Amino acid sequence: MCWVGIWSALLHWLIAIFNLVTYVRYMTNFTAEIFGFYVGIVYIQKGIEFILDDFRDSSTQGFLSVVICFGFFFSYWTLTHIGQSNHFTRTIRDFLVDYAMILCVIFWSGFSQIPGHLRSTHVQQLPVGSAFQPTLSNRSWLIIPSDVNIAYIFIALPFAFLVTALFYFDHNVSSLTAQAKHYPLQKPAGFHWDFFLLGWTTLIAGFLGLPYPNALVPQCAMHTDALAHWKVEDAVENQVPTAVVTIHRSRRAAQQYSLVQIQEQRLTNTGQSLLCLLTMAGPFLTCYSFITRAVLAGVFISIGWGSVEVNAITQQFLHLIRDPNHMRTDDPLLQLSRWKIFSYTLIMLFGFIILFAISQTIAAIGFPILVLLLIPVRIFILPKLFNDEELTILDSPVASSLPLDSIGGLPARLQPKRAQQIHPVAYF
Amino acid sequence: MQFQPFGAFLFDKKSRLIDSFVRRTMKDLNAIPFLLTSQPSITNHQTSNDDSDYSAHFTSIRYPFAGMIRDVRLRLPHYLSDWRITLSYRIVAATIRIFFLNVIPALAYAFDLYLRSDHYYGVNEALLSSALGGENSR
Repeated sequence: MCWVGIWSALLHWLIAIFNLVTYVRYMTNFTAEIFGFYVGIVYIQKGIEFILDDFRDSSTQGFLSVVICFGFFFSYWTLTHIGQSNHFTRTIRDFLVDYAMILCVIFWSGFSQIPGHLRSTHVQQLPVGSAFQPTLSNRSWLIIPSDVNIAYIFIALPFAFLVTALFYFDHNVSSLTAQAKHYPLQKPAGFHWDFFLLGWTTLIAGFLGLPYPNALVPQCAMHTDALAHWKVEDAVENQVPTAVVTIHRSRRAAQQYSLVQIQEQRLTNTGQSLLCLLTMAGPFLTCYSFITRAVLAGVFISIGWGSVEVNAITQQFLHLIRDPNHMRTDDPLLQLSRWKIFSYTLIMLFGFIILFAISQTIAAIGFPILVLLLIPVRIFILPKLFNDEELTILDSPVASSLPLDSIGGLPARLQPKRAQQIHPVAYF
Repeated sequence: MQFQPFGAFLFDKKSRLIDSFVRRTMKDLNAIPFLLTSQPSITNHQTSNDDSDYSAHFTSIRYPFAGMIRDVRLRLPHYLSDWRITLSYRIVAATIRIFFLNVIPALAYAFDLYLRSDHYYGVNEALLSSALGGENSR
């Protein structure tokens, strides 16, 4: 793995140095949403695998895992959705969205320790090692790359190609979704430099024997959401005329929230990395050891479902089966015929099915190449099936001009042919 | 030119480099308000108002390091403001939220890797990997 890290770092640097990151600007919602859908489904599948594994020892343990996992999913989903709905006050909603994950993890991990039948059933818990030591007790942190058979060094090279292709796609799509159109970002992006630094982290991770870090699709957009500042304005024009003319003196008039600023800084990212480092200390590891495997399965399913729920494939399909009387009048999809939306969704679903099928076979390790093949499909094949206006509505670029400026702006093929209104999604 | 002292030539070149660095940074920074107010259809071609073809420069394979240097140049003026932020509750809450949203799936992956890699990758590796680069995956 160290040599895979070294070769992969070299490839990352070559890609960053020779400006090959600019081809990221050809990635549109088509590729990003298919990949996001795939990531969500794979997360859910992984959660289910965790539960199935718990059935190995005894069926009681397995059924308890099922209960904990779906209890976690239900409670996390409910708390997060209350946080994104229009109930309670903004402070309570912020609190729920921020702390839902940890509250549910704590509750459902402790759930299996409730005295009685629950406590007597053994559940598999997170195996932790000693503080700040590598897990395998007979190795040191640093790996010497030179005491390896020379053949293995060159066998590592194709794996490094695959890791680089995966990171090229995953990391850059995550960066694009974190800088999507509806976020009012002010500072410029740096895709080339970012990819260069990713090579460095891969190298360091290779030398220390760690799994390689890269940006993951669900968490990046959540980070930007966490830093959003919403401004309150009095919504005079949106008040629905009702039979009640006067508002009682104890009630407040309606206010509307609009996304005004994203607080762009380096502190939160550094802070959470330092917190990760801090929790490698002894007492925190003991806390981690109480987390049961079923709860981790629930975490996977929750995050996977969250990714599937907001995905364009799901949203377009829901739009197709929605009662026309309940459509939003400014929905851009209303400009197209239902057959066009259906065929576009089918094409995206077909791309996802191919990706998923390949990843279940022995050729799973080569699926990043398939993901990169989605880009030529979008550039060359889709314009033959849909005309320009339809593609503008169905498949817009992920990020706005400022982040894309770092990689050269939107290419000529993908420029929208009609100006479109971009609506920030206001949950409050 | 060749009769000037060697040191003076070097000094000229260095000040010219710094001068062009500052000039190009200011030109890029001045283009940002235009980029912010524009529709996604405006490419970089229309923001540069001098003769150099900007987008071809740092997007083509013939100019190594151009993209990286331009990225650093654009973000360097923001470096101090990146760190000089008022510690509001939003920052603390965002740090905690994104910490848990990273570490718990990282632990989940760590469990999976622990079993599949014969106890080689464990919780400590996953935590260190998250500390190194934000989110952790493979």
